[in-house]
Amino acid sequence: MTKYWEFIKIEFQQGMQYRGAALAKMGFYGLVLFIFSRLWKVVAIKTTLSMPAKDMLWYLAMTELIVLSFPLIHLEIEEDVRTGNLAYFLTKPTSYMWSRYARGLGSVFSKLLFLIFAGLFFAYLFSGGFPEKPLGLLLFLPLLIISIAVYLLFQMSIGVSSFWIQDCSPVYWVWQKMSFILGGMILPLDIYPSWLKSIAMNTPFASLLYEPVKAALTLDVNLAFGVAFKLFLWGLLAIFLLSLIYKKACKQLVLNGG
Amino acid sequence: METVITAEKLQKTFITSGATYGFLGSIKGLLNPVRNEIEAVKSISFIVNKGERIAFIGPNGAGKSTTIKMLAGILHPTDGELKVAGLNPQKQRQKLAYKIGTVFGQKSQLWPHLPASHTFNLLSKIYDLDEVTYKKRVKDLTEIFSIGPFLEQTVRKMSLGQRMRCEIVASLLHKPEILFLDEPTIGLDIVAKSIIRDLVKTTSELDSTTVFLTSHDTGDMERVCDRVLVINNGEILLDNSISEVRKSYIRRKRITLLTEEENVDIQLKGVKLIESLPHSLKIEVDSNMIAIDTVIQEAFKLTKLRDITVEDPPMEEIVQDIYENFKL
Repeated sequence: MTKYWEFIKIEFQQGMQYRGAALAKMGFYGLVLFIFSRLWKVVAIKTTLSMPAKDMLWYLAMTELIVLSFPLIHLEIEEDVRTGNLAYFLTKPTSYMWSRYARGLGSVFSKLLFLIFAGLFFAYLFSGGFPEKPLGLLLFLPLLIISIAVYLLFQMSIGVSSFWIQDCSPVYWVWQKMSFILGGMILPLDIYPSWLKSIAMNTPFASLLYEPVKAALTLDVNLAFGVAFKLFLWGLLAIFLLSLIYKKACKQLVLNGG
Repeated sequence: METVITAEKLQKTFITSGATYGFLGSIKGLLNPVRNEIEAVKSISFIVNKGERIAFIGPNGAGKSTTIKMLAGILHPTDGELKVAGLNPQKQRQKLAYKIGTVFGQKSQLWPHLPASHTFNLLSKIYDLDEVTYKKRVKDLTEIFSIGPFLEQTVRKMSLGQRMRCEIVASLLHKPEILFLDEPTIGLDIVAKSIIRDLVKTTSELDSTTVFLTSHDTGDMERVCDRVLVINNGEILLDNSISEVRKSYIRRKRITLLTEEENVDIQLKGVKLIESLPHSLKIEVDSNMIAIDTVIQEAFKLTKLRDITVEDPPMEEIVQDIYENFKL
């Protein structure tokens, strides 16, 4: 286990070197929150939102925080296969899968360090204050980590598929769009038609984005535990899926570059 | 002598999609893809003893890298038996990792945006090295490979030669029994190549490390190795010591004569002129056609000789001869 902790550490250190990328991401985050803060203010005047306009912006700030902190781990795996660099990782006394996962976590932590502060700053600035239940922000932190940890597993399963299909971007594109829609990245699922909401609630996307944020904003501890448990189950499924794909993929591995 | 690698009837077949041409061809290929089987390695067998330095050479697509990747446990053989350091590389890959080191030219195991020392620290943890052993090993290798001046420099700012030295150090940290090197000098300039070759040989001698090296560069083979395996189309064509290969495949000798007379010309069957200067003559003699002493005697008839040098042709030409002999 300590070996994988070392992977987290080194990737975190490397992540801290990308100051330019971090600033760009923070700028983009701020811009998105600014645009939606204006939009929600107009919408709130015209119609009834499922939650106060201020919390709607905090909702977006939190879902965006989850999405923006993901590393492009599927592309990194694809590149390992394409360049043949995978050969180095497979000859180490560690699991490629878990070392990549640990590296993914390290990269997430380096991004979160900047993005949490940016999110707090921009959401406070553009919404004009903290959410209705500010303590929910503390509840959000552990849910955020669990959600990211599970999301990474699914993302890796997509990445490992490149052992076969070489280019996993189309698969990830579909996954990402499903996350946006069924995960309720911009709009909470409460304002979806009930049939669509019930479909979304039975997918991992809702547990990864909508439910952790909803639990935090409503400061619903029971819901938070429920979400954590659901994420745990989705995590188990993701590990099973990933192990299955990885095991089969390793046997049919074709490394490029010789 | 202890055997560290045993390959018996090792095979690897890849299945690839066949190429399609034109718009209709690509639609057809999408709906009904054509699968081709490529036999990258065809039932090869060989053994390697502890401390040997093997050059595994062959033209592009011969099966060199596929073989090295099977030996390192990365690729699964389609058929055959394989034992490396007493282990099955595919079933015991992580155990084997403690006993082998790998260097792949043009690929990197170093974190590009951090100094190489960070990767070394990580590797020391991965290989369960205790602090004292690790510190001593890094110190020794830093001295041997002269990487001290750029050890704390970001990897992406290093030259290729500097980076390659760090890559090899990274692969030697845990004192592997076997070092697999796949084209380690590719892309390097002559000086850097020479340094890398000497360092690999030195460390192999110091630690009794078995070296298994694939390369296109015959200099790597000549300067580092003592045995050569020639592979082509997935089959081993030749397995012999470098000195035996030299003896068996050197039909030609290069003779340089420094002459008293100007513009001496030797016209004999089996003698080819390479370079002619007023007082110097460089010729190549095919020893199957004419004896060396006959040529020298003929030269004495024409002029007094100030100096005579007889050399083997470069290793590159010897390899070319091997390839021609087997009609590669």
